[in-house]
Amino acid sequence: MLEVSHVEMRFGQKEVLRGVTLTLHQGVYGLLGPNGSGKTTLMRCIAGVYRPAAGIIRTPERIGYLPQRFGMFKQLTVYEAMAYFAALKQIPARTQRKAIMECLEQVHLADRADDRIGALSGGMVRRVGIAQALLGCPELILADEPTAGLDPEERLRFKNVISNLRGGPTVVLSTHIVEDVESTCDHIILLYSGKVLAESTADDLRAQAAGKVFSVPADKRCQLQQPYHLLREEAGTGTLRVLSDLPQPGDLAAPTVEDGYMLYIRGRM
Amino acid sequence: MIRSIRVSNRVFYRGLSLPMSYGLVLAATLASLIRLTQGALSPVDYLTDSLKLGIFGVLYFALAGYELTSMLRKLGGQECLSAFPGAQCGLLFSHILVLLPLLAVWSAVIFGGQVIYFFQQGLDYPPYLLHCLLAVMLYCLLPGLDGLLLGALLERTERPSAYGTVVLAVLLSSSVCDELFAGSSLFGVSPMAVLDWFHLTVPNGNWMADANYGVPMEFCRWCLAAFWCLVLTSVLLWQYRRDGGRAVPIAAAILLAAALLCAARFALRGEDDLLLKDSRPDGILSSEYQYRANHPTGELGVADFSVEEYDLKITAKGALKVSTTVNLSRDDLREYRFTLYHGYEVSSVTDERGAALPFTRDGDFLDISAPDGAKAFTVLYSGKGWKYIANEQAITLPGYFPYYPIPGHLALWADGSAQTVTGLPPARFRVEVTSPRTVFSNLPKTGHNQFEGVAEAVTLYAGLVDETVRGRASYICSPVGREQIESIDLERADRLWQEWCEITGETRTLDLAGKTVFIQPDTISACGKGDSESVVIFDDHILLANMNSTPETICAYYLLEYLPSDAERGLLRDVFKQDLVVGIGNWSGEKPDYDALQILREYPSMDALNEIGDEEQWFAAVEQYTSASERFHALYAWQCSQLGRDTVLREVYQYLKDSTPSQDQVTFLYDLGGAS
Ligand SMILES: Nc1ncnc2c1ncn2[C@@H]1O[C@H](COP(=O)(O)OP(=O)(O)O)[C@@H](O)[C@H]1O
Ligand SMILES: [Mg+2]
Repeated sequence: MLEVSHVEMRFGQKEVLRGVTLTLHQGVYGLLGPNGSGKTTLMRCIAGVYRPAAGIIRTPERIGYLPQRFGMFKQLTVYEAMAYFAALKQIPARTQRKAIMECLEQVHLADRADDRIGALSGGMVRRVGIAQALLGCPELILADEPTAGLDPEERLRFKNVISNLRGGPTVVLSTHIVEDVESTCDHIILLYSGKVLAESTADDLRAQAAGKVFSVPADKRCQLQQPYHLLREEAGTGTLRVLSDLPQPGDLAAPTVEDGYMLYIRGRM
Repeated sequence: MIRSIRVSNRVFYRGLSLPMSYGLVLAATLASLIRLTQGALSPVDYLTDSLKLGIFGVLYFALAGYELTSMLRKLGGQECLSAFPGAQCGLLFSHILVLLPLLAVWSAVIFGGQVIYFFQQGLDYPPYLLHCLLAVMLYCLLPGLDGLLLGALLERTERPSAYGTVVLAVLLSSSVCDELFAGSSLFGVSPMAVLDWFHLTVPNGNWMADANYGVPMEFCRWCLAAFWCLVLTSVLLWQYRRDGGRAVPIAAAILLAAALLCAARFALRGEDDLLLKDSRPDGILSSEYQYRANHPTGELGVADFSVEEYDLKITAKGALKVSTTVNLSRDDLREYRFTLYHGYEVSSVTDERGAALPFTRDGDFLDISAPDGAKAFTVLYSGKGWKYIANEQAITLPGYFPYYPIPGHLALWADGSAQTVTGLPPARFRVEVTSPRTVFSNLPKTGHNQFEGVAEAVTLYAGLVDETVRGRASYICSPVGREQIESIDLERADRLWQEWCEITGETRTLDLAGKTVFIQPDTISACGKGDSESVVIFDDHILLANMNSTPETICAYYLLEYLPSDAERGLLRDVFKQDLVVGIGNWSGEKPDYDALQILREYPSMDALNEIGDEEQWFAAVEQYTSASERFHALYAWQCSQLGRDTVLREVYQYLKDSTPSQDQVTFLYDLGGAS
C-alpha cells in the first residue's frame, strides 16, 4: 500500500506539486498528465530521490523504481548490472541468480545476459531498467514513462509483463500517452499542474465522455456551437472529433479514455 | 560495499581511456626516474627531483577521480541508485577505493626509484630509505589522494568546470603561482603566505634539500596534507548526508573537526618550516641579509669574565627552546655582557636563588644587570637560528654560532657574511637535548642525547647524520651527502702543517689528529670564497665545508686565516694559496716583463676595474688585466724556478703577513731575489 498525503514540492519559486494526496492499494495505477505536470517529481518523491517540502509519504519497504532516464555503466554485462542491483536490494546470494534470470526472462533479455550494456540498443537498456525494477519481488513498482523509447512490439510485451503482475504488487506507471494506460491500468490518476484532478478508471473516463464526443464533417465546421474543444482532425475522412457539453452538428461518437481525459484537461489548456 | 567495489573495478579496468592514461602516467614516471638517474645527482637531489612528479599525481588522480565518479551520472543511472539509501555514497567510495591501489603503485614506483638509486650509489644507511618513503608519501601519495578526493567532489559538475577546477588546483599546488607572485604583496599580505596553504607538492626550484636535513618534512607539512584529505572527505560525506543514514553526517562532522585541528596546527607553524627557503621575503635565507642590512653591529668588546660551566637544556621541536645555566668566573660585576644570536628571544634571566634579573637585548647582545653581583644565571630563550637549523627533523648547531650566551660583545656579521666565534677559553658543558633524533656532539656522551665535557664550544648535529670512524678520526656527517671524508686525512694534514711551518716560519700549531670532524651541510653554504665557515677549528673538533676538503685546503685555510685581507695583496694571496693547495706549475720561459704587469699596479683587483665607466674601455681593460694576471702567475713560477719554491713561499708569506708592506704586490714579486 502507498499513502501520499498533502505532498508539496517546489524548485525555487516554482511549485511543482501542490498538495498531492493519494492512497493506492494493490493493482496497476496509471499516473496520467501532460508534460510538466509533475509526474516525474511525484515519482521521485515516492522513490525517495527527493525529499518533499511538505507532506508525508508512506511506502512499503521493497520498491522497484524505473526512473524516467535509466542508464548503467557500459562496461558491465547485463547480468553484472542486475547482480549489482540485487546486492543493493539485499537479495541473498543463493537466490540471486534465479531471481535475476527470471526478471530478464520477463523482458526477453535472458539470452543477452552476458552482453555488455554498451552493446545494447536504447530500448534494450530500457528493458534492463524494467528488469531491475522488477527484481526482488517489490511490493511497490514505480515506472516513470516506462514505454518511452520502446518499439511497438516491446511496448506490447511490457504491457503483458504488467498484466502478469496483476494481483501482486502496487504498480504506478506514469505516462503522458493515454493509450499506455488504457488497457493495462486498473486505475487512472489524473495529474495536472501538480494537483490530482481525478482518481478514476478507464471505463469511468469513457463513461464520463459518453454523449459528449461528436464526429463532425469538415464542411460543417462553421456550424459548431461554442464552447467546444477540438480533439483532432481525422486526416483520412476529413471529419473533426469534437468534445462538447452542447449538441453539435454531427454524430455522437463512441467515447475513448482519451476523450475522458480531455474532458478534465480541456478547460485548463 | 564489496559488490560496489567489484562494479567500480570492472568499470575501471574494462574501460579504455582510464587504464591507458594510467599506463601513460606510469610510463612517464618511470622515464623521468630513469632520466634523473643519468644526471649523476646526489641521492637527496635525486629524491627532491623525483618528488616533483607529485604534481602529475595530483593532476591524473583528480581527473581519473572525476571521470570515474561522474560516469554514472552522465549515463543517467544515478537516479536509480538514489532510491537505495547509501548506494550512491557506497559507489562513490568504492570508486575512490579502486583508484587507491593505483595511486599506491604509482607512489611505489617513485619510491622504488629511490631504492634502486640507493643501491646504485652503494649507500649503507637504511634510515635514508625510511626518509625516502616518508617523503614520497608526503609529496606524492597524499597529494595524489587529495587530487582524487577533489575529483570525486567535482562529480556533480560539468566537465569544463570540473577540469578548470582541477587545473586551478594543480597550478596552485605547483610552483607556477609562486613564480608569478614572488615578492609581491596584496593589501599588505604576501600571496606566498596564502599559496603556502596549497603547497602540497614540492613547490619550487629554490626549495632545496640538503644531505643532513633531507627533504623538508616538518610536522606541520603532514598537518597540511592531512588537512586537505580530511576536509575534502568531510565535504564529500556531507554531500551524501541524506543518502547514507545518520553515521554519514556524524563522520563528516568528526572529520571536519580533525581537519580544523590540522589547519590550526599548520596556521601556527610559525617558521618551523624549512619550506620558507622559498621565495618569501621573510624566508629563512633572505631574512637574515635583510636584518643585517637594517641593523648595524653595535660596539664590540671582550668580556672581563668567563663562563666556567654551562648547563644547557635544549628542546629542538619547531623552534629551539633553551634553558642555560652559566656559572661565572667572577661574581663581583654589576653587568655581564653576552652575545646570543638575535633570533632567540630571551624570556627570563634569573640568578642562582631564582630571583629575576633585569636584562637588555640589543641585536645579538644580551646584557644582564646584577645589582648585587651573581655567581650563576639561568637564561631562558627560544626562537629561530636562521640557517642553523634546530627542529624535529634535524639539528645543525655549530659551536661557532652563539646559540648559547658567549661572554663579550662579539661580531656575528662582517662584510656581508656570517662570522664565526672561536678561540674562547674552554668551559665545562653539560648538555641535554630533547629531540626525536639521535644527536651527535663533540662532547663525550653520557646518555641518550646527553653530553658532558670540557671544550671551547659545543657542536650539535642530528638528522640524516651518522658517525663514521676511520682510524683515529671520527666523522659526523650525512652518509647520503657527497662528502669526501676519504680525502680528509687529519694526520696527513698535521704533517703537512709541520712542513709548511718549516718553510714559512709560521709558529702556530695545528693538531688535528684525533679531533672529531663535522661536515657542514649544504644549507650552511660554507663554501664561498673566503667564507669563514668553510674550515673552523676547535680544540676537540673541526667543522669543514662539504666541498673538496683536503689536508691542503684545511692547512691553507688555517695558514691564511690570520693574514690581513686587504685587496692590494689579494692577487698574490690567491697565487700563494693556489701554490699551496694545488701547485702553480713550472715556467721555463723568460722572466715576464715588468711593464706588462702595469695594469695590476693601477688596479689591484678585477673588481677595481668597475670604476671604468666606458664600456669599450672596460672590456679592453678586463682583457688586459686577465693576461697580466696570467703573467703574474708566470712571474711567481719563474721566481720559484730561480730561487726555489721554499724560498718564494717563505718570502711571500712574510710579505703577506706584514701589516704595513712597503711595496705593492707586483713590485714585491718582481724584485724578489734582488732588483734587476
Ligand atoms: N530539478 C528541477 N529543477 C527545477 N525545476 C524542475 C526540476 N525538475 C522538474 N522541474 C520542473 O517541474 C515541473 C514538473 O516536472 P516533471 O515532474 O518532470 O513533469 P512531468 O514528469 O510530468 O513531465 C516542470 O515544469 C519542470 O520544469
Ligand atoms: Mg516526466
